[in-house]
Amino acid sequence: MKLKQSFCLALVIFFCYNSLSQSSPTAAYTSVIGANSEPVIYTELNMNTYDLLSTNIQFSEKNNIQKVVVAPIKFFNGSEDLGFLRETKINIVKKNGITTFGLGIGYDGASIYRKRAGDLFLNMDFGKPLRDKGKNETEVDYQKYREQYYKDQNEVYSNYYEDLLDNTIKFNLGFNISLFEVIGGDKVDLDEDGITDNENTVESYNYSASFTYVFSTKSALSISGHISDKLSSPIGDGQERVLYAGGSLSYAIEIVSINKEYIHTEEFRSSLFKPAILFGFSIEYQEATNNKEFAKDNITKRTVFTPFFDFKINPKTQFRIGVPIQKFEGVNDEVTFGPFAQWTLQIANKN
Amino acid sequence: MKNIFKNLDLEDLNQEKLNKWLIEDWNSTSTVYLSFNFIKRRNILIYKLFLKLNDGKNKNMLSDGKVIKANNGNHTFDLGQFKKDDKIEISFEILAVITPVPRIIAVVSQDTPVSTLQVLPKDIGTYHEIKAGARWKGTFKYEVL
Repeated sequence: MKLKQSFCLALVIFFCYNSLSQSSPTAAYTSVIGANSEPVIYTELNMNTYDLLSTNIQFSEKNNIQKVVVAPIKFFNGSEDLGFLRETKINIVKKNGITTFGLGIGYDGASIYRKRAGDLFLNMDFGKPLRDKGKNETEVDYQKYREQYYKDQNEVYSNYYEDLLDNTIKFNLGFNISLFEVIGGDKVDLDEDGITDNENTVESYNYSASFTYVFSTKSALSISGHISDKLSSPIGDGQERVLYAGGSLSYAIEIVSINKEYIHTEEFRSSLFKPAILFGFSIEYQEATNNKEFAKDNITKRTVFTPFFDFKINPKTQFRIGVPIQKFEGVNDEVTFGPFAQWTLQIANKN
Repeated sequence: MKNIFKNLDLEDLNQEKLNKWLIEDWNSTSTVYLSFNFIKRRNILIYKLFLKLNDGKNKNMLSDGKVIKANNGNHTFDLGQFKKDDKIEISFEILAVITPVPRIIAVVSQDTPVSTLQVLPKDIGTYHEIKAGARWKGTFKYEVL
């Protein structure tokens, strides 16, 4: 069952990746903060992305996560301003045997389909029109003029994108439901201890609100709040649901530009991809507020600080390396370290 | 604007002659328009538009020194007055700025006689697509009716 679910999810990721990357040469949108802004506690619930498709696969000692967030309405090339609907997203995640489905709605102040983006475009100075070859001008000189003309145009194009993102806000409201590994079939008691092993199907109901402030194309800050109503296991042994509350704070900033001439590349013009290395950190916090005796793994309070580096090499090669430092409170208080690696793919829009 | 009554004889004028001059002048030339029609809320930048006349010379139709920015789904150029059977050639370049433009067509219209024709792509009901950040470089010929 577990293998089958993992295979299906991997297939979805593979299908999305291939169909979109083949339909256009574009791929990724270099949003400095997004679906990865909560890398440990809330990874499976986070829908803080404004891309058409965002996927990631995370490998670490304790967690193996496969995740896809899709904004289905962005597949359609309509001209209507759909507002919140355009940012509707669907979340599908597989993490350690738990499958999560989610639905989110959002607002993206930097959306290219908003009136602000249109007005900004009309107010940009794109320079003079391309002129014809002069009477006494050689073909070589005219080609040089054209090359320079396109370079100047690329500069304005890039400035428009910068202006579009500078000091904008995004927010998202999300609901996720997480299911235990065995979700159907007859109730069974495999170990014959008199307790049904698959009494419960819903692991948790999760509500979230996220707010992101984009300072520029180089840095952004994200704040999220979460409430989860959770069961620790599917076994029907009289356990109670535990209400968890928590939140997160994430920040990322570009520290190295891999290609200083990126604005003249087709990759940038088509997908707004900026090859860069980013440094960031996130602080995640979660605390059980009631029925603490039923808290999962007896952990009542959990704080995770994760410094990370994002390597955005090219649209199809992006990955993150992070080192979460976790502090648990509960039956056994402890602090742990455990690095993770995460492969990421983000696609901004259908081209 | 049409150039009418250019040969009007004021010393020998009556209503009938006035009507005759008007009809002759009106029908002797046609105003020709070029429209780019595209899906709304997509940004297009028209930064090159040359008109080649019968004499083979290129006329820059953006000669006022300004590129055209449009995102409302249409931009129309008045190409000027032409006589029947005049042959013109248009070449243009358009950049899709940040947004992809999945559907765009070029249409030429004239007022005398009234006629309109999708020139690019040539088959009506088909569209050209400009991917985000890509340039559409097009050329077509048109013979005035």
